[in-house]
Formats: sequence, structure tokens, C-alpha cells
Amino acid sequence: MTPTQDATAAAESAPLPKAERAKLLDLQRIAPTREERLFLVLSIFIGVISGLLVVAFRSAYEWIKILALGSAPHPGQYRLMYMPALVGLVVAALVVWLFPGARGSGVNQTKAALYVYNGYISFKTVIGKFITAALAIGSGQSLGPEDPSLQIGAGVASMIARRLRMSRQRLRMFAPIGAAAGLAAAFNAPISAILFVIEEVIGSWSAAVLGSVVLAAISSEVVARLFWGSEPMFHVPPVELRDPRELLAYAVLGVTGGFLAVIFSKALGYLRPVMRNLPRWTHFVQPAIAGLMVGAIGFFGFPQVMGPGYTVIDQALHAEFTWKILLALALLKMLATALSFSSGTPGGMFAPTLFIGAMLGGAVGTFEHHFFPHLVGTVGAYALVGMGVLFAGFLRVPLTSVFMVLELSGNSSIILPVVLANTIAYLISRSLQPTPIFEVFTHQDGLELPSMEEQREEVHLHIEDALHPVDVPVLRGSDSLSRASERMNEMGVKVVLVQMWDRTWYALTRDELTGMEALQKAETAIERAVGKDRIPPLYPDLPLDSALPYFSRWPVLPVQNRASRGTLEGILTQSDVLERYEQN
Amino acid sequence: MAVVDPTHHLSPRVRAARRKLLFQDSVALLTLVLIVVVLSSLTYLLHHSFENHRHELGQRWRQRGEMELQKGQSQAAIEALRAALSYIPDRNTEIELAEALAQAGRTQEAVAYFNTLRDEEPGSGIVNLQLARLAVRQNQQAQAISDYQTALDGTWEGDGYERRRDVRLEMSKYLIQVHQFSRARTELLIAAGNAPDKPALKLEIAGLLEQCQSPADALEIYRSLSQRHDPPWAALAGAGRTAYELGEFALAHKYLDRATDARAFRQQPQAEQILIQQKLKTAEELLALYPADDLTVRERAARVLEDVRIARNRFESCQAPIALQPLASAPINTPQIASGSLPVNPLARAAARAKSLLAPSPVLPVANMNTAAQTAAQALAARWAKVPQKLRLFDLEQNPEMEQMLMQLVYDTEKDAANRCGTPQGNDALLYTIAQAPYMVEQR
Repeated sequence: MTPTQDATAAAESAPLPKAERAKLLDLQRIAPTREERLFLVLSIFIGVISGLLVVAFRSAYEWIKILALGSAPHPGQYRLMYMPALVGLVVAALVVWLFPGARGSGVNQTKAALYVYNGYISFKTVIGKFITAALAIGSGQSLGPEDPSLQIGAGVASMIARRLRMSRQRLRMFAPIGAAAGLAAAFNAPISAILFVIEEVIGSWSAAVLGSVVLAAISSEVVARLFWGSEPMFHVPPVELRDPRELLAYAVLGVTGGFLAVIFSKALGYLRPVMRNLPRWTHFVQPAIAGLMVGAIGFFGFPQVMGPGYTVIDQALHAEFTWKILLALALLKMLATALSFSSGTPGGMFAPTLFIGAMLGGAVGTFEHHFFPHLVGTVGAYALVGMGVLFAGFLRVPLTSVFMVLELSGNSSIILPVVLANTIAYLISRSLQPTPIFEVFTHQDGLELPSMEEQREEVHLHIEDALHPVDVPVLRGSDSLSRASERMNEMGVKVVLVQMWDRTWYALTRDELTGMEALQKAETAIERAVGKDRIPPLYPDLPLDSALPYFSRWPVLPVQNRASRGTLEGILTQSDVLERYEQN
Repeated sequence: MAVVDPTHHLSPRVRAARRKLLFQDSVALLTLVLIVVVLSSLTYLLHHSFENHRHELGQRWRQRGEMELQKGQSQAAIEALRAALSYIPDRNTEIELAEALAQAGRTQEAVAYFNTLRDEEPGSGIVNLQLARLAVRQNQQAQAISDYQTALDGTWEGDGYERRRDVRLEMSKYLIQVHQFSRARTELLIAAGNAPDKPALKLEIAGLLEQCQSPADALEIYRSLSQRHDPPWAALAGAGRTAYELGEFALAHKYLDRATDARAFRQQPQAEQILIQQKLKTAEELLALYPADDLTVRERAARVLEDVRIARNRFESCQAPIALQPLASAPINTPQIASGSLPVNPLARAAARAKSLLAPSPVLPVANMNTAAQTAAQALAARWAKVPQKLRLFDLEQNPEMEQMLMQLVYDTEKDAANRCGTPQGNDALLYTIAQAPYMVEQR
């Protein structure tokens, strides 16, 4: 992150001025349910506007591609080299001087907005991302449009939420809603988009935001389909699992994909900081040099690696290449993407990941088909699974990768190979490269954002992890105050638990008892002597932190059985809770 | 009952603030609606302009691809059609691309492409046809036939009958190529049954029937075409040829004669003309030897005598150690021919003599032959022994049965001589040809 960006972000995330704060509090006082009511309505608007912007974005970069590279780029054309270089210079100037927030893929920037800058993404960033990414992708840089679409959507959501003076808490929630909308339109796969945002951006399945995310994604998808029709992004041939033994072949693909994902991650992890640490003046020419090199790959025989490469993925799904060409394309695409992305050119990783996965899958499938023709299915099936494998291994979003393949293929019979191959790739990648690639980029940018992967694997403590058996006297509400005093003295404790007639609980302390005895008769029933407040019901499966707010009032908390209300599973004290957290 | 204002517990200042907030939110939402409208318009313009351009590019590349495909420039066609597909994903373009791949010899890719197309549309006639052609190229006979059959049963754009007929003819040609004549014949007969009344088509079918060894079916088609006013020359020639092959020489002569008389004959290649003329000549000579039913009694008898003479010479030249005994000195076993026992009536006498030719004869010694051949030769020799050296026309005129029996002897002799003494020549060859199916010669 540049100093300028730092200053801007810091200013935006600084505590609000008193007047503003007062205004917001006023709003909450005047209309406490306003934000909830607006939330869903705004989700629809966010979805529609994001969808429109994504459609415009795609049209823009397609136009630029035709103008820059011609209608049918093929090897030997010099424009394949000089156009990306020229446009790279323009993009670099725009990014360095005008739109510093447009740098990068967009996923990390959205996460940063969410966790660091309270969901703030400036309008300038949205415009800048649109323009620079369209120029970069259209001119042939090996990058994809999905990530920028995600950031554009998040930016739209942020702008709308700010305009309507949403609270800071709500403002943070809007960014992922917009992100899901942008990604759904770009990907033409709403379920995968929603899952990706939840898996990688938000990190949790919060019911509060899930509904809005879904609404926005679907609205965006509807808008996109109004323009593009309901044709899928790829024409996936019918696939099926012919023989259970074929799963071994898919396992091989998973292993190969896992290792390749690690290589790709390490290449990016190495090259990006190297290029960023070069003298500042080189930042003006890095995209141009990257464009020239990518163009050279195209010039000398492989123009398929330029741009997102959707058409080439389609061709791989239809087994139009030999395995050697497929392998070459996979490796060259990795190189081209590493160059384009590391140079700071705005653009995403989704499309290149799908491309590399499809080529790898096709290569493995073709190779295996050669030796086991009766055992191995169509090469297209392997290309399809390969896409999921790289998604799982490189981007480290296992759930999204499975659903993405299902959504793209529309065929559930492929689920078993997908799950198997993706899991293998994910595990290999995780063991050899513990830090996911987006987190690597975040660290390189000098930020510390929560790791969604770590969050997923965090051990969540529950009340049952800290409770201990009942070691205080348990009385009924009809028992007298003197009885309570007797039991306390007998057991030498400072608190007793009292179960009232309606099976609610009260923790009576010695101090309270002494006060009651002074004011009332010793035979007075406890339930008549105490106030109306009762301990809220707690159960063993509840999160441990849900008990913390009650210790300010109650020294001991009874933990009840859900099946038999009133029956105690144990009790919980503040020291129990703290001790348990310390153990963790 | 009075309606209770839900905000009545709020102070006037708060109520005013709420109204203001409501107004501001409404304005904000309206603004959003306007933004959506404006953005939709801009997006539509941008998208529409690109779509039009994309469509235009797709059409342009497709036309170029089709041109290259027609010129046989398959590599250029592949690139152009690929470019077209990237702009307009169109099934017809995909089919053309797959055809270009096939044409370029990239069979595997073409098969993969067509298989994908077939998976999407299993009943497509054109796709299955292309797969059949690729299977032919890959020498996968069973697959090719199966694909052809599926193509026949599939759906076709345009004139389905005509397309299916073309497929059927193509399939038949392939079946002939792999020597599955019976199946080819079936398909060709179906095609003939469904064919419109177009001479060129019928000639093609008839030609294919000839190739799959069904001259009778081919002849039927040729004859039907020959009955037209101004029949095609190929029909006349074909009728003559197939009739000749079937041994229907009278019919063959008729059509070959017409063929040589037709104006189109002179326009035929020299080799073809010579062949037709040879066949006509052979038919004429053969018919000159054949004792047809439509001849007079005397003429027929003369022909029989001539045939007997030819056959006897053949027999004698073919017999090395066999001794021939004339009838006069041969022992005669039939009671009718025993001395003094012949009927007085000349006709009856002649009949009796004829019958004696068929009577079992004593076996005469024959050297240097296997047992069966020996037996046959001996039998023939015995039969010849009973034939007078100087047969008279009168005998034959009076005795039609004798004519038949003599002709049978002639046929048997020629067949036997062909087996034992090699290919017959000249008139022997003609008689041998007649002997294969004498009843067919006069078929019309």
C-alpha cells in the first residue's frame, strides 16, 4: 500500500467527528428500524447496478481487444507485442498517478476495505478499476475480469451505503454484498459467487448478511442474463463417470494440480515483491514490459495465453488440442499471468486459474486416455475437473471450486471426481504452501487481514468445553431463606442456585441473602424474597463467549439440558471460562 | 375507534426529523432508480454496439471459412471458422469447423468435436453422417455402418427425404466397398423404392446394384428407364449389359442393338463402344446358334443339327483314348431298337431311337481320368454313340423330343468338355454359354 493510499484510508477510517457521530446516533434514535428496512431494498439496487456495470465492463474490454489485437489474433502479428506494451504504459500512468486503489486483482482490496477501512471503497477506485482493468485485459494482458468485477460491485455497494448514511456496522456488511453481485454477473455462476464471497471475503455464514448477498447476486445475474442470454460461459460437453476405477485417474489429476498450484503460488509470491521493490520509476514501465513479454509469447506461437482465454478453455473442453499443446499452454499461461500480475497491472486471477486448470486437466486426461482408453472418460471431463482442481489448490476455496464445476457443467454425476481431485489438490497445496495466495499478497501489501482459511479451521469453544459439575447447593424457590443460609453454611459456599416454580434459575449470593434476612422473615420463601430477574437459559452447545455478558450480574451460571429443561448439565463460572480460553 | 398515530409518543422535533429523513431516503431511492435507468441506457448502447460488431465479425469470418472450405484450404478454414465461433457460437459453424478439421486430416479432433455435437443432439443426421465418414477413414467398419444407420434415422434440415436418400446411397457405396453386398442391395432397393422419377438418380442406383452383384435388380431399373420416350443411352446400355450377364441374350441383343443405334453411342468412349459392339456380336452369334421357339420347324431343326455337329467335334477333339462306335455297330439294349422290333411308323421309330439315347449304356473303358470324370465321359460317349453320324433334318422336324434331347446332349457335352479340356473357343464357347441357362436365352 502506498503512503498516499495509507493517508486516504486512514482518513476514511478515523473516528467520526462529533457532529457526524451525533447525527448517526440521531438517525438510530429517530428511525431505529430504518437500516433493516433499507437493507434488502438496497441489496437489489446494488445487484442491478453491479450487473449493469459488469456488463458494460465486459463490453468495454471486448471492444478494446478487437481494436487493439484485431478480430482474429494469430502468431506472427506484431501488434500482439506492441499493443499490450503501449497500453501498458497508459495503464501504468493511470494507476500510479490517478487511481492507486485500482492496482491488483480486487479481492484483497475488497477484504481490506471490509476489515481495515470499514467497508469504504472510493468512487474514484471504482472508476479507475473499470478503466484500467478494461484496458489491461483488452490489450492482451494475461488477467481475468472477475476479480475487478468483484471490486467494482463492492465499490458500488460502498458508495450506495455511504450515500444513505448507513451506520459503520452496516457499511462493512455492504461491501461483500456488492462483491457477490459483481462476481455473480462476471462469472455467470451466482452460487459459486456467493460461496466465494462467504468463503474468502466474509469468512462466516452470517444469517444477517446471507440473505442480502443472495438477493444482490441474483439481481445481478438476472441483469447480466438480460444482456447475455442464458447461454453458459462454457459449452461443457456431457460428462459422466463410466467406471469407479476412473477415480484413480482423477486422483492423479488432483495430485498434479496440487503441485502445479504450489509452483504457481511460489512463482507469484517471489516475483511480485521483487517487482514492487524495484525503483519507483520502473512502476511506470513494468506493465508495458509485462505486456511486451506476454505479447511475445503470443507472437511466437501461443496467442491463446493472451487475455482471459475463455474461448481456449472452451476448446480444451472439446478436446481440440493434443496433450503437449495443452501442457505448453498451461505452463505458458502461468508464466504470462505471473508477469502480468506481478507488474501491478490491474486484473484478476480467476480466469487464468480456470485456464491453467482446464489445460492441465485436458493434458492429464489426454495422456491417460492414450494408455487406458476404455477406463478413462472424455478429455473434456478432465478439463472441467482440472478447472476445479486449480481453483481449490491455488485460490484455496474448496467449497467454491466444487460448486463452480457443478454450476458450469450442470451435471451432478461429475461431483465425485470433482470432490476427490479438489480435496487432494487442496491438501497438497496446503501442506506445501501453508499461506494461501491472497494472504501472501496481503502480507506483501503490509496489511494483516484475517485469514479465512484459518478462521474456517479455528476450534470454536462451546459452553460444554468449560462447564464443571454442580458443586453448589441447589434449592427450590419454595425453600425458605433460613434453609438457604443453612445450606450455604453447611457447604461453606458463597452462592446457591435456586430453581423457581417455572424452572427458571436464580443465583443467590451470601450478600444478597444477608440483606434479605435483615428485611424479611427467615421463613419467607426465596422466590418471594428475590427480584424478578432470572438467569437466561444456557445450554452446552452455545458458544462459550455467549456466557461472558452475564457474569457481571451472576457469579455462577447454570447450564441446562435442552431435552429436559430444568435439568442441570453443570455450572459455569467466569474463571472456568477464562481458564478454558487460556488452554486454547 | 380512533386511529392511534404510532409516532404520537415522539416529540414534534423528532417527528419532523423523521419526516425529513423519510423524504431524504425517498429522494435517494429515486436517485438510485434514475441511476439505474441512465446506466441501463448507457450499458445497452455499449453492449448493443459491440453485439452488432461481433455479429458482423462472426458472419464475415464464417463466410471466409466456408469459402476456404470449398476451396479445400482446410487449415485456413479452421482458423476462420474458429474465429467465427468465438464471435457467434453457432451449431452450424461448429459443424463446419468439424468438417474442416476432418478435411485437414485432424481426424481425432474432428471426431471429438462431432461426438460433442452428437452428445448435445443425438438425433442429428448431419452430425452422425460426418461421424460415419470419419469412422470410414479410421477403418472402423462396424462404427461406420452404425453411424450411417443413425444418420438415416436422424433429423435433417431442409428436404429430409433427399438428404436421407443421399446418405443411403453413400452408405450403399461403402457397403459395396467392404463387400457387404446383401446389405447394400437392401439399402439400394429401399432407395429405388423411394426415389423420385429422375433418370440420373435411377441410373446411379442401377449402377450400384450392378456393383453389389444384383444384375437382375439393375436390369429392372434399366428396363423401366428404357421404356421412356427418348430413353437415356446409359439405360439401354445398362439393360443390354445386365441382360447379357444374366444370360438373357435375346433381351440383351434387343437393348444392345438399340444402344448401338442411338445417337449417343458415337459420343461414348471408344472402349465403351467396342465393348458394346462385342457383346452385341456375341449375342447375335449366340442367338444364331440357339434353336429358338419362334423359328420355323425347319430352321430350328437346322440349328439343332449345326449345334450337334459343333458339339460332336468338340467331344471328339476332347476324347483321346475313348473309342466311338457308330450307332450301327453299337450294341443296342433297348427293346425298341432290337432288330425287327422297331415300330413301323417313322415318327414312332424316331422316338424310339431318341429314347434309346437316354437308356443306360454299357460302360466303355476310358483311360487317364478320375473316376467321376471317367464315368461322365463314358456316359457321354455312350450317348454320342447312339447319335447317328448323319442325322437328317426330317428326323428332327418330325420329332421335337429328339431336338430337346439332342440339345441337352450338346449342352452336357460342352460343359463336360469345358471341365476336362479347357476353355472353349468360338462356337463351342457360345454353346457353352447357352448351356449355363438355356431357358434364359429367350427371356424377354
